[in-house]
Order: sequence, then structure tokens, then C-alpha cells
Amino acid sequence: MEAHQEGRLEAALEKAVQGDQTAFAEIVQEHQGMVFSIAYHFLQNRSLAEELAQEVFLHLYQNLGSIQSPAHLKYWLRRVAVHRCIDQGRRQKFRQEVALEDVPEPAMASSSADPILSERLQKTVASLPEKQRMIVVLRYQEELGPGEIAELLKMPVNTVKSTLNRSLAELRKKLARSFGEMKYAIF
Amino acid sequence: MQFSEDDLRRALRHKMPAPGFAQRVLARIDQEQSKAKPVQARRAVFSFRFWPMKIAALAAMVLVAVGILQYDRYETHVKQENAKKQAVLALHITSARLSQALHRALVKSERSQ
Repeated sequence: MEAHQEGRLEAALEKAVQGDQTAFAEIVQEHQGMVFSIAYHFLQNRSLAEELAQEVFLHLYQNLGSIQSPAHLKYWLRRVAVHRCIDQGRRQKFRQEVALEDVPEPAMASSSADPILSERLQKTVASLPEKQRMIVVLRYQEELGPGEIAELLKMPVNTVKSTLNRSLAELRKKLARSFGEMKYAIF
Repeated sequence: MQFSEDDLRRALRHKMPAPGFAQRVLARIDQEQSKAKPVQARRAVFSFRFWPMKIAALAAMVLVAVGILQYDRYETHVKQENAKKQAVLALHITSARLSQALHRALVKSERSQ
């Protein structure tokens, strides 16, 4: 199934390189979720995320000739999206600081699939500093390992690991404070 | 209550953009291309693609200029030659007339003696 999808994407990539816009649209549809989500979880703003994702695909269209394979395409899109997000954050000083007072009122203890918990986690992730936020997004949204994150962000693997641990500790602390004295543990 | 890494994964799960995202991207590409076209055309004139044509045009212009210059020189030379011939002819005629006048004068003086 995956091989079939890989083959389909490879064919779409070949056609897109030759100027086939339908094939390019197929590529966009295949990867729009990843690119948009990286931008959305980093910027916490739908319209900014849409704008940034469009720019990433526009940049892809202009650089289609340099893409060697579907795997390279995914890596390329992820890398461009990550760096554009960081640039956007630096340029506009866009950092959605979520003060503890702004975090929604605690709800009753909930299950792991609790939408309120999800929302609160998203907001708390958005309150992290840029690098920490991006590392958390890449680790838990994109399921990348520390090595892959390190390569993408051009930083030592150990720095990624320690930043990730620090980010999780900070998330736990912020959530614990926002939920009163209730204790949260990441396991 | 606890939250796990899976909760974090759920919170950061993929979100889709509004429907029609791919169409909006394609529309933006069209927009960018139409914006870029005049610039591309201007650039194309200076691009390496047109070098052979430009060299040929330049060579043709140089040839025409050299041709005009040569023709002008030739024409001036012909005019100079004609003027020289006419001057020589005029001198010949003048010389002949003077000789005739001298001859007549000599004849008259001989008769009067």
C-alpha cells in the first residue's frame, strides 16, 4: 500500500516537474496537512498558517527541479516549513505568549482523549519559546526522532534531547499550575 | 489526572487547511507567474539565450556601416578622378587655344614685316 502510494507520488512528481498542474495539486493535497499543521501549531493562527503554507508550496513549485524523490520532497517541505515558521516568528516577533491567567479554567479530571486537555496542551505548547516549541511540534506532530530534529534545525542531538526534556518539564509545570495543585506527569 | 505523550500527539495531530487549499495554491502560482512575466521578458532580452541573435545583429550592423563607409570613399575617389580628368582636359584645351593664338600672332607679325 505504502509502496503503491510512493509510486503514485513519484509519478505525480515527475509530471509536476514537466509542468502538469494537476499532478502538482496532487502533491499539495498529499502534504498540505503536514505543512499547514507545522505552521498552525507553531503560529497558533489559522490565517497566518494558511499564508505560510501557501508560500511553502509556491517555493516548492519554483524549485521542483531540485526534488529527487518523494522522500526528499517530504524532507524538503518539512525543512522549508520549519525555517519559514522560525523566520516568521523572528520577523514579526510573533510569539503567542499565553499567560497562566489566559489558560482556560480547569475542567474536571478527564480522559486522555479529552478535547479540553488537547486545547490546553496546544495553548501551552504555543507559550513555549520558538526553538522549544518547534522541537515539541516536530517530535509529537511529525514523530521525528531527536537525530532527525537535530539535522532539520542544525543543532546537536544532545541539545535537542535536553531542550525536549526541558520543554516537557515546562509544559508539565505550566499545566500543573493552570490546573491548580493537581499533579501531572508525562510518561 | 495525567497527560501522556499520546495526549501531546493528539493535541498536535495534523490539522487540515480550509477546503480548496490546493486550488488556492495553484491560483497563487498563476498570479505570481503573471506578475513575473514582464520581468522575465525583459530579462530574456539580456539572457544568454539571445546572445547568438544579438551577435548576428551587431555583425550585420557593423557590415552595413563598413559598406556605407567604403561606398562613400569610392564615390569620393571617383569624383576626384573625374575632377582631375576635367582639369587636365581644360588645361589641354587652354594650351591648344594659346598655341593657336601664339601661332596667329606670329603669322601676323611675319606678314607685317
